[in-house]
Amino acid sequence: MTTGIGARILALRTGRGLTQRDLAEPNYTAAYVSSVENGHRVPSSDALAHFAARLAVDVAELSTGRRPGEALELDIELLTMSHSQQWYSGIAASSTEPGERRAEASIVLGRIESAVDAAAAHFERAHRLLADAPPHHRAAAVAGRAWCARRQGDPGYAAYLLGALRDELVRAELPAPGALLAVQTLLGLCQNDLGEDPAPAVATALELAPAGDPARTAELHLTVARTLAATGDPGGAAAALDAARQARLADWLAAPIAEVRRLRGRARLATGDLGGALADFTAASAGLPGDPDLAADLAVTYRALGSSATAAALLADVASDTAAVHRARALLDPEAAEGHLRAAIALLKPTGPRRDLADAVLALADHLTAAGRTEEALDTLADGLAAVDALGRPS
Amino acid sequence: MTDDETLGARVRRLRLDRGLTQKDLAEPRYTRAYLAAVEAGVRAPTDEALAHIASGLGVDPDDLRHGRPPGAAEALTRTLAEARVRLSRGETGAVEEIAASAERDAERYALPELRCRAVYLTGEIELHRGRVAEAAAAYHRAGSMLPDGQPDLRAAVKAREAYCLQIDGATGAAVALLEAELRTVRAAAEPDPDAQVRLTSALVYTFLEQDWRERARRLEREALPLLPHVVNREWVAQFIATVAQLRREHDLAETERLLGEALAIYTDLGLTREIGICEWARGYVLRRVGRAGEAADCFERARTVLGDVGAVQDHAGATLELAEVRRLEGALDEAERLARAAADICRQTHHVECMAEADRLLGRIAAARGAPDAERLLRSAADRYAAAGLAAELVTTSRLLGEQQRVTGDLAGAAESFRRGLQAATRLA
Repeated sequence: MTTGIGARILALRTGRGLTQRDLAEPNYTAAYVSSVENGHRVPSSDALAHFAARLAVDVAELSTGRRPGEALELDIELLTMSHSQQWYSGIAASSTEPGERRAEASIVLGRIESAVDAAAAHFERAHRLLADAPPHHRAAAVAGRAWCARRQGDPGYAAYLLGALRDELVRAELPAPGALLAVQTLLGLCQNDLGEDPAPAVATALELAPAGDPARTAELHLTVARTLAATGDPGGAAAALDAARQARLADWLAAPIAEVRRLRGRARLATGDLGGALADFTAASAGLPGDPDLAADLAVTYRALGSSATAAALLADVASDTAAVHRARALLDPEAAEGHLRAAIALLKPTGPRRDLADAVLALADHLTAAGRTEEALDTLADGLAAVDALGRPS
Repeated sequence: MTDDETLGARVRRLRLDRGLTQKDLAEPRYTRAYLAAVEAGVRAPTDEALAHIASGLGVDPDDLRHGRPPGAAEALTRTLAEARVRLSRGETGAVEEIAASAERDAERYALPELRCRAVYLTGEIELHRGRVAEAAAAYHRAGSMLPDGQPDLRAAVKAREAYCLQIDGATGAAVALLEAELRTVRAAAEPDPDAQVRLTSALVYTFLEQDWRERARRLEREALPLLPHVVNREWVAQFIATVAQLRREHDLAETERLLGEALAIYTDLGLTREIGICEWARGYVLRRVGRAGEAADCFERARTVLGDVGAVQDHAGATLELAEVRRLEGALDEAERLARAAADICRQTHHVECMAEADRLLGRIAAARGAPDAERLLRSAADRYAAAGLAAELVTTSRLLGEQQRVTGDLAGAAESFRRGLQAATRLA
């Protein structure tokens, strides 16, 4: 705030026994210093640098009133994720904080907000504040916006945001691993939603996915940052802070990374790489606890590996009988296959997705044809295709 | 007055016309000798002197400097506005001449804004003719001469540049351009409502084409409060007609109301082609709410208007819609005649999607008659949709083909067609 700067200059000047003219010369006039001190004028950045040099203080300290190191401590606090929503909102909306810090607070708000529209607004503000930042510094904001757009039902727009940032990262030769991890993880999921081939994005994302628990990693980096800040190594502290920031982003991406792992597991299962599929599904289960579809994926894989008992056990206690669970049960129990396939089709008919419905219809038709029931198979195909077509033509 | 008359000669001519002496015009602030030097072209008048002389002659200082006839800017503005309406009537040749001469006049009279508007009109003419590359070049040229402080003109040019990018398949670049422009307009001290609404319409249109509906709805909500402040009524109508399509599936009554509102504005402004497009969209909605008779009337009007203004492809599209209504009414002969007429046009314009739609419609008409070529036509439509990568249409067409084969007792063929449709659907979300 202007008055804040003026008051600080006045206090520092008188504390050092300088006159307004002493402070002003040779570039400025005493009258200018006077009007700055009483808040009538906002000093230019050149003037601020001049005054800071004369008063032997840091420019940032003079403009914000913070002693050196205090700003660093605030940045560390932001990443602890332990403050109240009001505390983050205060920083995000502050007119005195620099854009990067406001963006950081907005990103935290977006991550802790459960309502998707409100979260989107936080990430959009962060993105606006970072409009002029290099692309790898914008990745967390863009990833947040894309994640919201996908949840709002616009995977195409999300893919556009992510694709544009990916191209910028490449063009600017700033392929920061944390930024790429966020972009490729979410891009793979959106491409899958859109019926496009997610394999290249999935492969890149999983190459970059961190081992271990990124939340714990973030805490360790923050401890290092605090220590280095307290022992007068601001450069080292800033580096640790950046490492903590990347770990926070990876932590926020835990569920999407698990989804991407599941996608790769399904692709591996389809090509007969059972061991690879099992590894992916198992690793994904930490990020998707209690997900019935993942239990179905695991059951199908164990059955293919010859462990039908394990497969049956996995399906015994799923939270809900989704279409994927019915498809898995149909595989495990050929006697009951028809009933399970029909149940899966019934679940998919009202809302799709069309590809899953079409796939289930084809499976049931194959099952009926193999049993010599061609009339019923034809009915299944006709009804199934009509249902798929109706899903593509609302109203 | 001649084109190359110098400023000094112009001052002398106007002074003599008014029966003034050099002394009369110069005094009290300047000397006779100074004025004589100005008239002789020996001295260039200062801005103040020019203002003094212009006031003595009773003319506008800028008009005097650039040798503009009085009211030239107003007259050019009017001409360009009339040309816009004539373009909408399909008078491309006449409007092309107007645009070229308006550009020359605006340049000669040093009217940069009007020069830019004339070049923009050239782009509009090319777009009307369907020549996208030529249109893009004109918009690019207009973009290079945008005067400061005209956010609405800038929005018009940028929206068209983005549209050309999108037609070229560069959707990402189109969205990036429009979003950056909209951000800039909104960041101004007093954001221009016209520019915001024009850019929003362009973005909503792009998002609709990509089926990014949530994003489109959000934009609509942000722009709605601006509508009462928009000066350019064509842009209000354009916004309403664009967002009406957002509702299509949810609230058809509201869609029809919005399209009626847009239609009223277009009618008031005399924008013929836009009236045709609006009638087409209304017919589409009315058919889906079961008001087939009114839908047919709309398509009939749209067809006539679009044919008259030379919008060939749109004329064919509206004709196909009318044919479909006639088929549903059981007027199979009329439906077939219309569908064949549309198919002929589509073959000439090489519009694959439209050819597929015509085949499908003719196939359904043949099926309704029990005619033997139903299967051939439906298969042709399916193959065209498959080649164009339109999976959802392939699903529908495979269903129709399979049902037809089932009716004629070809059960194995029916199963195969149904499976083809389901296979196509395994790539659909």
